[in-house]
Amino acid sequence: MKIKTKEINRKIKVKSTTDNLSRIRDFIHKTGMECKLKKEAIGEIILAVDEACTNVIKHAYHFSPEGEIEINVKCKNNKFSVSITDKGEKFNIKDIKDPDLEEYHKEKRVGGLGIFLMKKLMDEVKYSHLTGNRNRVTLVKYLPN
Amino acid sequence: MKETVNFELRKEDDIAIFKLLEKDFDAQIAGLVKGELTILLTADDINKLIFDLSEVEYCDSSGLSAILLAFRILQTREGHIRIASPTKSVKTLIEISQLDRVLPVTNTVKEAINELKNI
Repeated sequence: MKIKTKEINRKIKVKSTTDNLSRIRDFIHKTGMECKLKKEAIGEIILAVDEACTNVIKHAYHFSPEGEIEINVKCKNNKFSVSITDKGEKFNIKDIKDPDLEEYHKEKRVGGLGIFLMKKLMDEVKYSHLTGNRNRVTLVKYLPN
Repeated sequence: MKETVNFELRKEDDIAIFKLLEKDFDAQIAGLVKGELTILLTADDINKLIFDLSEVEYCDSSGLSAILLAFRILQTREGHIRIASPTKSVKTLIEISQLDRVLPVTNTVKEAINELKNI
């Protein structure tokens, strides 16, 4: 039986603390369920969004709890799209090369794994710098017809 | 940011078994776990470690980086590590990240103990 995804728009705004990561995950889970996504796809999107928000907390806001993270979810035209917007330090994921994972794990390197996971789990990962010194990462998952 | 992390530590002969008693292994507790593991591995001079993930339902790259830290500390002194009993979603993450290529994963803690006893 074909399951039709539901068209929706949802938004959440949270402070830039790691305490809020579970709240963000719950929000994505709830929205994914509402959109009738498969459990596996929801799990992948949750992890990708978690990685993107962790990057914002660590690299854009440097663990300052006063920053804001806005997460917009759109489920439309067989696409589940999540945009994560912050006003922290400019950080372009295009500048980060995918690590050679085996070497990465053995060496004393840190960072880069989260971005690798985002690219691996999602169909599109886009970065944009917006007016008002805002950064936006958009993660898109294509949904089966 | 949390100030404490829940875990259980036991020893079987020369093997330390670190069981994380948290459902979410993310950036909120990864730093605390790194601290506990560093103390355990350096102050207690442990060379064989089992990281029991049976209680962890969710893990991200921050959690994996804590496990990697333990691996790297042990690597400097030719120690050994096993990741034991990961739940399905955590096992999938370990495979996607190819962590299983450098860190042996066992289905149970007992299996991990048997492997480390034979080293």
